[in-house]
Amino acid sequence: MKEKMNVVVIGHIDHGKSTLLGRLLYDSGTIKKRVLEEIRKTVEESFGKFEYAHILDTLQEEREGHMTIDIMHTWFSTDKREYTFIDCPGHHEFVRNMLTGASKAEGAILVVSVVEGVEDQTREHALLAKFVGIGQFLIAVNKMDAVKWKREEYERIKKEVTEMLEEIGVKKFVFVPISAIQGDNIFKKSRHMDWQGKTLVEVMDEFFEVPKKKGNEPNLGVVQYSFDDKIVGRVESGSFKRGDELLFEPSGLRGVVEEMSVCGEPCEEASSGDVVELRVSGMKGKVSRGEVFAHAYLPKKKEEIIGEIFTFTELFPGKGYVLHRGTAQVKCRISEILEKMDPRKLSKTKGGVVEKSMLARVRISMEEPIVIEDFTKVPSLGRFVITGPEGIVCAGKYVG
Amino acid sequence: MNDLKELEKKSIYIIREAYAQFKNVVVLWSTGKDSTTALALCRKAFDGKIPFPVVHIDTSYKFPEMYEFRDRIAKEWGFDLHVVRNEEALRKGMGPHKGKLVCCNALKTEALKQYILRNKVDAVIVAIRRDEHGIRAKERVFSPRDENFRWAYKEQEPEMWDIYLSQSKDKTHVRVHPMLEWTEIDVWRYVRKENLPVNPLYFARNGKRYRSLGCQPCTVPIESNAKTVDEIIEELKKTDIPERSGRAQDKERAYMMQKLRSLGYM
Repeated sequence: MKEKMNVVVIGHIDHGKSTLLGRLLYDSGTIKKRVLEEIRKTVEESFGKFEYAHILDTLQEEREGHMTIDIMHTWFSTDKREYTFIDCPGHHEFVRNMLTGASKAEGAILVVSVVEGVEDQTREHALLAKFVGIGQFLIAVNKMDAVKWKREEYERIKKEVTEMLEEIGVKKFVFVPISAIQGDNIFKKSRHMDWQGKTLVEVMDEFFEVPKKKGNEPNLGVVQYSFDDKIVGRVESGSFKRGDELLFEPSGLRGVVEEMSVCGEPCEEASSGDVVELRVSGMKGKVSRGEVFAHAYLPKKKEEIIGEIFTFTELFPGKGYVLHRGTAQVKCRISEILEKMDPRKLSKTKGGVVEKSMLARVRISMEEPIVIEDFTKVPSLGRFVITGPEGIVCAGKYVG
Repeated sequence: MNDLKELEKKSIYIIREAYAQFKNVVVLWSTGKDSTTALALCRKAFDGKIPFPVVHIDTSYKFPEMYEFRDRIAKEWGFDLHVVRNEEALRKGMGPHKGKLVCCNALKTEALKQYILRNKVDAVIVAIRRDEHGIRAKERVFSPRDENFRWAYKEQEPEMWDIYLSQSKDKTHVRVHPMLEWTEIDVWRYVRKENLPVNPLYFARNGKRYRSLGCQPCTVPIESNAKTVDEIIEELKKTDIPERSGRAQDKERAYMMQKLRSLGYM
């Protein structure tokens, strides 16, 4: 079976994200002819001329407004991999959708127009992709046709983007000059840029790495629910065997795994990602939803944490919220704003609240202890969202 | 092609999340291959016994084979089957001749709406997949619906990583989509691996088979000689025909699927 990888496509509005993907699907023959014909007819019947971006922009409002609103999933295979691309809206108003898409990806294609260069959402998207855990960026320098394929123009943008990426702390990145509208260096090699050897697709295969399990991970799992002596949940890192002694936190309960099954099938061992049912003996109480179980490892139990967050709406210190880490939830308050930054300008600001669409480091106080691990070590136990009565307020990760 | 074990694990996790977070969960079952797979996943998630009702929305226009299949499987698998119909609309003569959008909306969406209100359902598991249709490709795993059933596709809540929540204050129920990542071929490979029952209409007779099952008047078969699950999988690897091309309400033209879904269609 081929490797699988999710890649998010990000960048400022109108720099050509949907066009790039549309062109890729078109040139590679991935989009079925009949589907293409239907799209063409729909577009022509309702308002006008077919564009490559319409393959991705399926909503009427997106096509008529010439702007992606919500993320779109699409698929593309090479000899090496099966990619799922997540196309994101570039408009600032829809950054929550971009973040939803990026949080599922292992790599990013950052599209930057050679004409406009780095703009607000170039910075914001790069920073937020890094925030959700993406460590590898392929920068597609687009619209090379508009600068008559000049290498100096490409080098100028490359320098500008490199400086920006270094400023936000991205270490692994690579550049490819392309023209999405004309299909240069996407699936087919450009005839106009003999100074560039490889297409975007070739670079994708070579440059991106599918993150591998590190080994030596702590043995941790989460509880979805429990009844009687049965506990239903998922292994988040490491592995568990029949006979293992488990520690449940924050309750502190202990027990021994007598039987286990994965997806309903009995087994002797379960590892990271497995959905498990455990029959545990020797328990002196009831395990609750959201507890973490561990073996040969002491989970980090915290009542106060420092989190790095991105806000979807304004966040007020002192106000009551709920923090959700995986299946766990606990009442919390923001006790201190340590630092905040506008990701569009990469500028630090001060003030008493964290405004909408800001990155910040905050101190969070919980009403009861919760298990939370380092985001870099056990990502699924180190990330959270905070909600208020009106819905989701911010996404965050535990940094200390 | 996805790793079936991975897909299965993710789907079961999502189904169990729905069960853990909501009081009145139901799973929709059209009797087609996707929702039959969803039922199989629910069975696996709960030791063979689905702990919530299985809802079949009956437009009364389904193929006779679908009703036969439905009753046979319901008996074999022993779940709590609720057959739901919009009786009032049917009495007034609703049917595809009144217009496909109007009919789908009345006999499917409206029927479900009535059932949800009557039974205070707060989560509906639906077996839609992203690769079926460009509009479904924009869905979230947990997708809230307001009292008018509307899907606010322009203002969807963020869904971060695999933290599945629904905090929308206007919601009356949440659509839970455990199979968004599955593809058509994945479903057939899973049917083969798990030896799941499927409706005989999917297999070719006289050079034709149904690739997607809906109401009889609005569904047409495709040209095919695939008589077994293996042959269907081989056929799908080569075809350039979209899966739901035989389904009238899915035609890309005039944004029919978008309109239907924004009103609460599955």
